[in-house]
Amino acid sequence: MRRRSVPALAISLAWLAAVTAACGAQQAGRPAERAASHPVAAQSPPSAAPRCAAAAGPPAAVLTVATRPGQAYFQRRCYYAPAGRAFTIRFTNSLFAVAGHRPTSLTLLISPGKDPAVARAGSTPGMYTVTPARAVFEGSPVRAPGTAVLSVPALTAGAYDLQILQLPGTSIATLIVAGTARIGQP
Amino acid sequence: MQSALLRTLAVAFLTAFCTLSGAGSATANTWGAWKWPGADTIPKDCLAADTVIIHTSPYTHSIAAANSCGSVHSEPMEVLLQEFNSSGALLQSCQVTGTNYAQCSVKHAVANGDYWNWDVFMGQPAIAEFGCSNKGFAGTACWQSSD
Repeated sequence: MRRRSVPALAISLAWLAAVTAACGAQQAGRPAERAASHPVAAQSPPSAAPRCAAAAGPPAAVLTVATRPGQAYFQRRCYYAPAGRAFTIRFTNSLFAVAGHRPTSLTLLISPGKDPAVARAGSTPGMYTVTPARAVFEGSPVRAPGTAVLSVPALTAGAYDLQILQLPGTSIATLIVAGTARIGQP
Repeated sequence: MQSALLRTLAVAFLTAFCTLSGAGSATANTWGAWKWPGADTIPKDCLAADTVIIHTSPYTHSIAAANSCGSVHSEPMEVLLQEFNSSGALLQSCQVTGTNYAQCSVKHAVANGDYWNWDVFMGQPAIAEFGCSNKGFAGTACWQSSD
């Protein structure tokens, strides 16, 4: 008869303890959040990006994108880039966790607004899925405080979602790609 | 093959346990089980399950997740949990990478108007991710099981 080894038994017990701890938590959560256990049916579009007006003039070929100081949001709701040619994003991450002043590492995603990398998951409020393969651009992670110069390949005209892989539930802006680059820009 | 089956059963067990124990609405604020989308090298039959819970004293959010394909496809899994105040400042976060299982917690980081966000990533860099935030959804959360 095959006997279960002591390490295997220990792992099994640890697993059971973890599951029990995870599922058997105290019953007194915040009332609002406990009530949330019942999903509300609501049809939502896949993208939650803000609507933006057309660019006032030829967009610059160098964009400055940054998180708000100390906050998990972009500084602006709308950004503009030229269509049909590569452009540059200077992405600044200044987001630290208050506790321990721990820096974050953030990755910029650009995906089509009609097929966003970050999409709401059905009708469940707050739930989303992220499929980085849908992104037309994924930057390298930027650790706070830091700025990266990101080279974005040419995009066709249209509305894109600008998001952060590590903040999918909070950070979203719209990138309007249109027109041609401002003369004199790299 | 046998180990893959055991991992799948472990994930199913996590989900079933949370459901059958009555943890769904009373104690586990959010939970779910997902098939990965089949992106990259991850087959569609890979299954992941997670639960996110809240303790009140001390105020703690915890996330635990397991997946059935961590070892088979050598894809790490990562859990991320964040607590924000009402203005969007990141109060605390935890981030842990595992293979078949990962968990982490944040403590003492909430007040009125705060909100949370959690994510489970598959692969490094991430190939797929799912998560939830209660920002903008006061009184709601992400109690869900799909696929």
